[in-house]
Amino acid sequence: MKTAITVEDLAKTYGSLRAVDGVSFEVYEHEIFGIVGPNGAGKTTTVECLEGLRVPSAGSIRVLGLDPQSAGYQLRQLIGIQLQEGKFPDRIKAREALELFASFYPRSLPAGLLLEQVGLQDKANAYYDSLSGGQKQRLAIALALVHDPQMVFFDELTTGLDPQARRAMWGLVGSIRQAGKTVILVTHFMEEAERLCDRVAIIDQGKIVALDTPANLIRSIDAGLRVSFTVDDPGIAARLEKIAGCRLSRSNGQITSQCADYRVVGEVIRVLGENGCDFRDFTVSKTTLDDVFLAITGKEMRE
Amino acid sequence: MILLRQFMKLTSAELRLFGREPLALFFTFIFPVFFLFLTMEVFVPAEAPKEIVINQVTPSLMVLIIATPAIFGVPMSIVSYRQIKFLKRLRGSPVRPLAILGGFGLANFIVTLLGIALLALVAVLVHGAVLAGSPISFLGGFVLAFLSLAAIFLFIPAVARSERAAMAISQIIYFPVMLFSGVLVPLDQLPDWIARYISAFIPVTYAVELLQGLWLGAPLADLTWEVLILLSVLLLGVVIAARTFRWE
Repeated sequence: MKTAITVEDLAKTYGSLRAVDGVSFEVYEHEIFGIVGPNGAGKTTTVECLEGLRVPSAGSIRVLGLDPQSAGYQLRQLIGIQLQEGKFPDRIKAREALELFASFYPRSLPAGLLLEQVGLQDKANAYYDSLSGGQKQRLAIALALVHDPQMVFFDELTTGLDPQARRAMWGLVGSIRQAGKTVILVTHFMEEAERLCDRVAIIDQGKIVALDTPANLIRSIDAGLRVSFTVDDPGIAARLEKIAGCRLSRSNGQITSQCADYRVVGEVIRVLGENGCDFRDFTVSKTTLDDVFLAITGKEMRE
Repeated sequence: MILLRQFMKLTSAELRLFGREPLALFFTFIFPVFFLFLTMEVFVPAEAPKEIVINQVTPSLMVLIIATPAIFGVPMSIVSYRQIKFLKRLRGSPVRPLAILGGFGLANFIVTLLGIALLALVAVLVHGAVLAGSPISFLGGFVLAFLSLAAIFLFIPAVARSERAAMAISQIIYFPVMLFSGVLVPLDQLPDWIARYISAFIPVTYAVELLQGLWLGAPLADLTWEVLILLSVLLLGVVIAARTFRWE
């Protein structure tokens, strides 16, 4: 696998705040690399250093073999970016925005083709402010692809979108990787990273706390299955604790247990049934990256 | 070559955006002509010599056309483009800053030029105004007035952090500037102390005096002071803008 990005000991400080605090990682060509973590963890600052939009306080960066600071002009020809909460003038039409950005590059793709790729062919002459949130993000993707870049950066691409629009966006990101591009995806939405990314770096308080494939990260915390349900009689917990391979936690009537495998889940149900326990809201869920984040940092991902 | 293409595309995009702002169109094209009509037909006493009044009012209303976008339109656009991260997004592409500045400036220049051309046309054809000076000198004076006023009010996006703040600053300075610079009220009708202690410190005043002088055919030698002041204002505006410009 060829390396597309190398970051060594990257740091960015604002006064006494260490927004990025010694981060090192590599991104390989043609992969979707996720940078995840809670708001304010330093994700955006990190990618904006890679894009050449921010000057690092320390460390070294190579993106496609170039230093984003000294070779920013060349680098901008090779990368496409979508900014977190980035918008365009209200009264610009979708096609005009694409043609405007196309004029900035020596070579570019036709606006019609790009609009079709992102499913906006019917909105070519629509004003930017008349587009829905999902359509605006699709236009932002088309604008990032206007010069057929080797690498694309997406920062909180699906934040604020409804689930349907979010899924459509995931499909688009997948197809961009299929087209042979390297994708760097910043998100605070763990499910998105789990679904899309080949590898994920988890950032917390300016540091990378874990970096691996989503599957390996989930396996690494060995959490098995999460079973949760509500009971009227919390006394049942004492009996459940005796089941091998079952770890319990309780808050009021809500019981959550980490089960090693499905056989243990069966045991839990059997014990509940044999004791005539009245249980409700019974759910079984697999370990997610949210659990990984919780296990590593001791904090809930969701704010 | 690519710089030229970026510059032309940005100019045409900015012109299109301007054409879609009804309020901006109104203040550039309709309001000055309407105000000229009001002045000539309603405000001016019946016994006043209209052929003298029209030749004073026409150049001062041209300054209205130059100053209004310099105080409102340009600062608001810059602050808004910064707030929505459009400037930052441009910076993430290989567009040259010179193309952005040039495209934005040229689009505004073209609009302003069209605005004063329309006003001049109505003033000459309907109200009998006459350009007594040289058209070339007058055009030169217009360019200088446009550049220095556009530049000096760039301090607004430098200090304003949001569109609301920019709007507030523009509104606070707009009316005093317009009233005390000879744009809406002739300087000789203002109390002497206002003319001396307030008007003299408003750059717009010198734009009015320069354009009035050039319109009425005053020799350039009589206007050196105005030209020097406007050149200094231009330089000051450019220095402030260059030092305080923020992409985000």
